[in-house]
Amino acid sequence: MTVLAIGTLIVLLLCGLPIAFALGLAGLITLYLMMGGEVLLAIPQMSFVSIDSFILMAIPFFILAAEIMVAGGVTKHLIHGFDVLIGHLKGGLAAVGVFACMFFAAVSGSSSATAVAVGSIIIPEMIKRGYNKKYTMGLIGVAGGLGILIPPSIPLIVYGTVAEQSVGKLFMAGILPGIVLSMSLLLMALFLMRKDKLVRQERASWPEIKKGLQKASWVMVLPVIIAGGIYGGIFTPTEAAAVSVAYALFCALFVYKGIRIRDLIDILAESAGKTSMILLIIGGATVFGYMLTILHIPQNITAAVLDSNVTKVVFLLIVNATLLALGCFIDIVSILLLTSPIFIPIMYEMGINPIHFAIIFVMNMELALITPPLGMNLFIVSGILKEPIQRVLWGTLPFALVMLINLLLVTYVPWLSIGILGIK
Amino acid sequence: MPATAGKDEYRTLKVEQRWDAVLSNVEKYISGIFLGIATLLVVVAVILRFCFGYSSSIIEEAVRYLIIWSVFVGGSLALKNNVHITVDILTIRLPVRTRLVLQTFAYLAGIAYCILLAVKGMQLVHNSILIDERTTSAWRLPMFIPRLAVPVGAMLFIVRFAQKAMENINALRCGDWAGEEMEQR
Repeated sequence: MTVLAIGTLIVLLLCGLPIAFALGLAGLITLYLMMGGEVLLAIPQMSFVSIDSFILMAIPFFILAAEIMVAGGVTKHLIHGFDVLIGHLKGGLAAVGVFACMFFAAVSGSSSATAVAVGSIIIPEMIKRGYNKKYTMGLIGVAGGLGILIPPSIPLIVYGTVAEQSVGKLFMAGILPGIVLSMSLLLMALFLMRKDKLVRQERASWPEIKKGLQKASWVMVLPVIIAGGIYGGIFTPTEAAAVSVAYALFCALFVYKGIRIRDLIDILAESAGKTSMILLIIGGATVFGYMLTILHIPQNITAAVLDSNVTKVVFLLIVNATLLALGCFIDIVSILLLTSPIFIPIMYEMGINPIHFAIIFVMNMELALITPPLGMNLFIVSGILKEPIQRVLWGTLPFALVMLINLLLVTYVPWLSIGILGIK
Repeated sequence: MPATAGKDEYRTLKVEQRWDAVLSNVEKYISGIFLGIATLLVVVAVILRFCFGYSSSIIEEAVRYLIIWSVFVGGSLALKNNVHITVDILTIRLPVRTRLVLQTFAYLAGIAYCILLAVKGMQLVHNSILIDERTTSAWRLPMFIPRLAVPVGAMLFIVRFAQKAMENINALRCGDWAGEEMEQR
């Protein structure tokens, strides 16, 4: 049965059925063969119940906020704000790119949104100013991954729902690893690009700096509103997301004037489509996951792992390797939903903190974003410059290495993620 | 479409396209407006709580159901525009003919799944009406309204999968491999 279930899934996926439907159908076929027609009524029920949660509703709002900011030209002003400050320094624009990614990550919950928003502006500009093309692509492709580590983060919202953890705490735990990772990426970039022949850039004059910062400051307040609001207990993550939509809309309409009211319906519909992509996968993965549970697969794996007396260190290494391998083939949300019934009981049994585990998971998924064949950020960056995927891939290698080191660091130094919460 | 297509065939195509445009627009407005209203409701809820200390489970419920509807209707448009994540490691490496055949199979499988979702989803809606199931908030909204999103969404997905399958079958029949060429006609 197990072979049939996984075989059906693989065949359907390879034929080109979208992941959300392939998971649901493979689960359905196996369930039907095991339990007969009665189980069929549970399929629409699961698709409905699995997404009927107020916490998950933060996802559409964070997507919408990011879409509005991109369409409204907010990112352009943000990047300009950083540029007037440090753009003239040697390697300054690389730093601008990393900071812009960090910032965008702090208002959006998705990595691809971050890579598109920042990459489409900063990559051409960096190349124009003489930065190494290969490493520019690599840097932004990898730094875009910060989107899911630095709060808010869509995978952390989903993890919070699945593992019954506070989304606010999960968000908090992502901050420090996010900062450490950004800084190490930046150091690597400065090292790799130290010999690039850069176009000399005049230092911006005071009025220019003032003007640039004034414009950028409008949007720079947003992460403070989101983070302050959530951690200050003023609103829930979902409410914070909706408030940031309102604020982003205000900025885009009245401050930056990048969009008009009538563009709104297209932005809304597009965000609804992107939301459906994620939430329908949750529905499909729930069906598939239910089938696995009926087959006792997670239970058996859990028992086998616990019986074999692996240590915590080895277990975490296995987790990392498994997630990295899976990340090459399916998307983040599916991996999260399919592996959590297996990993979470083991995690509790071994005394690993669930929040620490979440951060390990998310960092693995960042690596998944830049590993082919299903590496979203590779596609995005290669799309921006119309460069072949291979070239982007070579550019990301040194940064992927930095990321791997960071992953191991976060895995074996729990303080980095959960120290902020006062958990030892 | 082959170059020798008769006038009638051309007409049917036009009608199809017209229906497609109408459907896409309806989907766009429903999914977009529902998401917009949901956002507005959450912002209003925050303001109400902040200024008047009033919090409402009705708003939270309305937001959830609006988004669920938005997801199932918007998902159809997303399917048309190929937004859904697909694993294409194999398909992009195959000869076009094989690719089209495999994809058509995948779309037919998608239709089968969605037919089941639609039929069984309708059954759930029916049950829900029979037992007069209501939501838990003070609103007491009949539960079949949010539940209806699943079968409606599934029916829309069927239309989109069928469209995609037809496109592929047409291409296969006409021996017209290059997708771009199809677009231009």
